[in-house]
Parts: sequence; C-alpha cells; structure tokens
Amino acid sequence: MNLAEATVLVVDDEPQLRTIFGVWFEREGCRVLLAQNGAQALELIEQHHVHLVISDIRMPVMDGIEMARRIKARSGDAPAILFVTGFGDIDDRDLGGIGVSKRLNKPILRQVLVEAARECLLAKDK
Amino acid sequence: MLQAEHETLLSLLYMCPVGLVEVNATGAITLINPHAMSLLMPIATNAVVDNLFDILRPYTASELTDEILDFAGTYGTVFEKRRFHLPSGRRDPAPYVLSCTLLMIKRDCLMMLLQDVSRDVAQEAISEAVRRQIAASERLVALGTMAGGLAHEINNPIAIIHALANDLAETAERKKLDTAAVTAAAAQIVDLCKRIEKINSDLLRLARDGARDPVAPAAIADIIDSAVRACEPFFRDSGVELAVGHHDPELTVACREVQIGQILVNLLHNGLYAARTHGGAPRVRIEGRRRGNDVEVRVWDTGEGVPHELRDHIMEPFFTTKPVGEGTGLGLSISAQIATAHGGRIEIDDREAETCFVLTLPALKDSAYR
Repeated sequence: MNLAEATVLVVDDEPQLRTIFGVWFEREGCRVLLAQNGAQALELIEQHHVHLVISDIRMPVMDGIEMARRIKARSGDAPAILFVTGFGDIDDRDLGGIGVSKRLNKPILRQVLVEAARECLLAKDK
Repeated sequence: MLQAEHETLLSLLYMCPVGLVEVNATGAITLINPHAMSLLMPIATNAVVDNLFDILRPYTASELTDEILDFAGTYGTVFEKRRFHLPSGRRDPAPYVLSCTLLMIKRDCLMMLLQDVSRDVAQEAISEAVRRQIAASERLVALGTMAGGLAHEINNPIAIIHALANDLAETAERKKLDTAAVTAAAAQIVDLCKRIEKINSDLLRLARDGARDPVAPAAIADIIDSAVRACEPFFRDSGVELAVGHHDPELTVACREVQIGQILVNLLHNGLYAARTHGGAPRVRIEGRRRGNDVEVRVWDTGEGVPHELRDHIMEPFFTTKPVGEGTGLGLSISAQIATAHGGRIEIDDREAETCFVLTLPALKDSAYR
C-alpha cells in the first residue's frame, strides 16, 4: 500500500512528539489520527480503518505492548505496528509474537521514520 | 577481725579483672592491682609506675589532673566514664583506648577504675563504617531503580528537540524558513532543555549522600515537589495515581534537604509498591501540613496496609515484605534514622482509613502558621 493513501495512527503520551510525528505523516499525504495511550488507540482502531500504528511503548493507562496484544487478538484486518521507543522495553525477538513489525529508537530522523513506515506498509501487502 | 577483712579486700583488689589504682591528690599511686599495672605499662615511659599523672599527662594534657583537683572533697562522686586514646606503643597499630572511671573514696584519695576498651572502640568504628556503606548501597539501589524511569523521562524531550531540529534543517534546505517558525521552535527547545535540567537536578539531589550537608531552612513544599517529580514516571508507568495535596509554601523545616527528599522518595515508592500490588483503583497521596509545632508529611496508599504483627519490625534494617530482589529492607530503617537525626520520627497513623505513613519534623519557629 502506498503511504499517501494510508491512515496512520500515532500513539504517544508526549503531546509535542505526537504532534510532530503527525505533521510528518500528513506531509506525506496520509490521513493521521492521534492517541495518547494504548486504550485510546484501540478505540480509534474500532472506529476507523487504520493501516499503520506508530506507537511508543511506555505510556500510562495502557502501554504499547498490551495494545499490540489486543490488536492482534482482534478479528479482521489488523494494522501494521511500528514501535518508536527510547529504550529496549521489549526484546526485538518478541516483536513478531505480538504482531509488531519493527522497533525504532527515539530520537529519530523524519526520513528514517517515514521510510520505515513505507516499508512496513509494503511488507503488509505481501 | 579487721585485719582479716582488710586481707580479703586486698586479695579481691589483687584478683579483680578491672584495673584499680588508688591515687592521692598529687597523683602518687598508693595502691595498684596487677591488672592496672598491665594496662598502664604499655604507656608508662618509666619502668617504675609511681605517679599516675606522670603517666597520663602526655596524653591527657592537664585536663584530667585539673578535674581531679577540682573534685577533691566530694566523696562517693563518680566521674563520667572518659576515654583516653593513647598511642599503643604495642605492635598492634590499632589505637589503645582506656576507659577511666573516677571514684572519690575518701578525702584526697581517688580510686581509678581502668579498662581496656580498644576493641569496643574498633568495633564501633567498624559498625559506623558498615552503617555508612549500607546507607550508600541503599541509595544506589534506589538510584538504580530510578535510573530507568528517569532515562526515559530525559529521552522524550531529547526526541522532541531532535525532531524540531530535524524539521528546521529540512525547512532550511527547502529555503522555506520563516522567522515565526524558527522562533516557535527555539522557544520549545528552550522549554524542553529546562525540563531536562529539572530532571537532572532532581537526580543529582537524590544521588548525593547529604549526610554531611549543613542543616538549613527549607520549604517542605519544595522538598515534596522535587520528590514527586522524581517519582512521577514510576507512577505513570505502573498506572498508579499520584495525588499531591496542598502545601503551605511558607512552611519550613531546618533540615538536610537532600536527606528529607530521600525519605519522601522512599515513602512514595513504598506506597506505589503497596498500591500496585493490591489492585482496585490504586492511588498514593502526599500532603504536607502544620500540626502544632511540627510539620507533618503524610503519605497515604490504597494498599492492603501493614499487618499489626509486623508494625514493630518494619523500621528494622533488612526487614522487608517484598519478594526477593524487590526490596533490601533498608529504606524505612534508614529513613527512620534520618528522621530521628532531625529530631523527628516516622510512624503509621491507624486512625486513617488508608495506610498512612507520617513523617514528623519540628517546624521552624518563624514558619507560617496555618
């Protein structure tokens, strides 16, 4: 799937970062949704057809790992998930098990994040 | 009959495992038992031990002799035990310490009870060193626990700064940079740097020992705020609410601020642990208030409480109810020690519905009354 046609959900408890990431994907032509924790993200996924979730791991209410598990447990077409986090809160080998495509480190360059998102959507098509 | 009693007394004196020396007001030894001889020999420069003042003078200045002379005439009075640190003169490099109790038995006649307390003194020094080490390692454990959360706290603003710089650079490349955008980004970056600096200073404050800091007036509200900031990431990550009550900004205590902060961080962490493991709507609440001449900081948690049979033990070193690896059992004991050193205390208030630990410290006199 082409990035410009995708609906991207950015999940982060840090408002400024959430906004900046959102702007980056809007600039790519995406439809962007924002959530401040895993629980909010799940609600949005129920309401909208989300293709890609860009999420932090450590968040209040519901963290990224729990969110990924619940997305995986849902029936129907699951969005691709990209973790963007400061620390190795999860072993990269465990990512696949909860339906997460890749983990990227914060801080992150716009190009790196956008490129990873593009790859993620392409991989999902295969 | 009298002769027989005298002989019994002399043989008791002779056998006594305490050094006994009878001296007159000039320090001349009128009677000495073998144990006292063995205690004094290592420091006597002369092989003939005949004047106690001569023996002790080099080590005690004139203090001892002055005291003895001042004191002539009050029979039965016992001087407080005093200790003399003497150069050992022995092969053992450890200090040689004699404890000396003075007893006025009759006019112009002193009985001196001598004991070698070198071992006790050495033991005390070791205990003190061990205590310091334990306190230091406890601080390191606390710091280690905090490091993960705080690193995350620092990384977030760094990620934002990084993203802002990234945007600025890309916009500049496209030659689309306008002054308003640069100003806005710069202002955000400055705020984010301040946020990092705040985290850093809280961390540094915790990392310091603080035990040797001078006691100075400090606003209890500031100490609470700083402890709360240091603990917030942990509460957020564990989904436990941290409620901060109203504090009178004028309320001050004379304290070593760093140490009081350490107590509060410890109480908040204990509360977090208790609330988290109990379920329900977990919450920890902290509030500082005035109570008579004291300042009270109360920390409530929604945990299951401290069972009555454990109440007496929770302040003891190494006592913990946490599973292996989750607590050293030193936090509360060290906190209680610090509180005591400040003329305060830590206790549990049973009258409260929730578990409530109370740190009480004497308020500064001119502190605002509320």
